[in-house]
Amino acid sequence: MSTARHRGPLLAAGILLGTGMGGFVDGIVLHQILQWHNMLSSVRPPIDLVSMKYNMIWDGLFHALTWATTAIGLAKLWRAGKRPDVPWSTRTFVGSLLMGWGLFNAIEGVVDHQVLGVHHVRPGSGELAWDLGFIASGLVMLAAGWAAVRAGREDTTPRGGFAELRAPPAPAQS
Amino acid sequence: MMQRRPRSRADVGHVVAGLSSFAFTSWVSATVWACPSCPVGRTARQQVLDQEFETNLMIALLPFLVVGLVSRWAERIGSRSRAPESQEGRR
Repeated sequence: MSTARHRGPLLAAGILLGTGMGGFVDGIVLHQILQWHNMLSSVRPPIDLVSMKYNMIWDGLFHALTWATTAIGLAKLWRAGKRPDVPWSTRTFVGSLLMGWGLFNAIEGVVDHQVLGVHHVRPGSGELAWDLGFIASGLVMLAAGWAAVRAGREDTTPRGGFAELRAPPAPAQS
Repeated sequence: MMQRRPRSRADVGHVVAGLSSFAFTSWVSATVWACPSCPVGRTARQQVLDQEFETNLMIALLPFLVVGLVSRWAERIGSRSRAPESQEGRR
């Protein structure tokens, strides 16, 4: 059986797809359902209809970027799946998904919430606690993903590596 | 066994009128509430473009760019460190 050692393409795809999946959870659950975390809610608090629409447009642009990241990740995953030198490792892929999601939350939390202050997770009293919790959740996901990716170093079977097990036995030669 | 009464023209007319009024009401309410080009919607879109659009776009883009760079780095590192050629070279 051949061994696959180039994990890079799978890692890259997983990180981008994790960012996309995390971004969609953020956008759907926090922005839309809970009406928290709107993109420019500290610059332009959504307290009237125009301001709500203003934030809604920026939330839409955030979703557009999230969609583009997911699409690029999917294309990279497709290409990685065609390469026999890329190990088709569940641990590497799930780990990189978690790393992407966690990394995005940590970066977004530090840059947008703490440094630039353009929005907060849940504006109002106790917003610092929500912001720090958001960053902490990102770091926890990043660490868990890193551990899973490290564990996946032992996986060397390429995609379709078990094909010979599924193949019907060759007919006996007379 | 129950016998179905044949539908008269009046019945068909009622159904058509009901569906038409439902469609018209839906269209009117969607037009009013969706507000794709009402003054409020136009104002919001104009303000998005007028109020530091480029800066805000960069703020929205920044985390994605960082993750993209990290993804690129991971692709290069992951492709380099455990290449089969280097494994064979050690044997």
